[in-house]
Amino acid sequence: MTGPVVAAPNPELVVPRRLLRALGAAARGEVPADARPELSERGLLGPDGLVPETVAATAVAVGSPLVTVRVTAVRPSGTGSADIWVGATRAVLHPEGQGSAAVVSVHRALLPQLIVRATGLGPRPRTGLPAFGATGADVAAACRGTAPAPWAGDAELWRVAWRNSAGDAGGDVAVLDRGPEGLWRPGAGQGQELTWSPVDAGAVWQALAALFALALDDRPAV
Amino acid sequence: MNTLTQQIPGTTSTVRVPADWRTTTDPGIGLLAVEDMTGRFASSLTTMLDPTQHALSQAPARAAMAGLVAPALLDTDGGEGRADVLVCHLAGGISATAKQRQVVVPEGLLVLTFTAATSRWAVLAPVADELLDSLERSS
Repeated sequence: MTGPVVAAPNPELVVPRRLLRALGAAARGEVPADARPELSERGLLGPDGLVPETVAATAVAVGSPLVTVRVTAVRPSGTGSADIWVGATRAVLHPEGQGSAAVVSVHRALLPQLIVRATGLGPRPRTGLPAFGATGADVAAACRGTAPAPWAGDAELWRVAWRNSAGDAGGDVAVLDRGPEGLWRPGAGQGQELTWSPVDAGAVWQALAALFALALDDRPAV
Repeated sequence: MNTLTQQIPGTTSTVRVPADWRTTTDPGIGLLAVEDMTGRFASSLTTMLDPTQHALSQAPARAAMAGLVAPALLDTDGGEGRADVLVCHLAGGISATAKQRQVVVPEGLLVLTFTAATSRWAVLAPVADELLDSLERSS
């Protein structure tokens, strides 16, 4: 196979966030002194002070990202988030948390698939239900199950936010996923309240395309 | 966008295509391909006719994703004798987004696919809709 592969090249790379950041710093030649022993012990830093070839591209993405992406989800089981570092050749996802977690590293061209996997974006029924008004906080609380919800069943509120390394370009997309009652996006409402309107998954994809325009260097040569 | 009407090979149906895109036709296999080769990003619209099929597929999404590399199904929609499928996949090592429309015409099952770089989808999604919606069936 000559094309990009979905499988992570280092399935054994299960690390806490601080060690992943240290690995990224090491790729820049800035190995944190307090992390050096652990990086070395785990084979993530060679005797020459260099990051091994097997994790080099992943480390470069984390240490010198072109674009960073944060995916946050609020669901009945709690709130979770993950960061994605988009580097020159790899897109690297790591869940936020105190403990160790698997690093998912894919070819940069697979960033869209990574976003789909992280958000669960996919086909939903077109229900034709009317828009409703609610603040973002109220919708989040309803998704957590700590406040009444103006819908039936479980729902999930997810948000994808991104910015480039220069900090001069970025954006975000928030979506309320009501499962069989479809996908909903917030728009301007009255006061603090937002107007949540049903959208199809294609419209969400089109909104996310602003991220892909920034993060994917897939322009054929002219 | 300046478009012109193009007959779809093997059918009496027509579709509008950008006037400045390169057009290739092969009536033998019912293929019409139009590609934007002058812009910075290549986009394409292809049509394929399957004269052995005279009904929509029971699983249009699965049919649309067959043969694609790393496909991710994004959306499906149907109604009025058509099935639409939106999918992201890899093509030539880059991320591509394809919107496919399957419709039944008198000559068989017609499949129109608009494909563009995912990085350009925000701009090209309306073009995909405009071209796919321009299909005129003879009956």
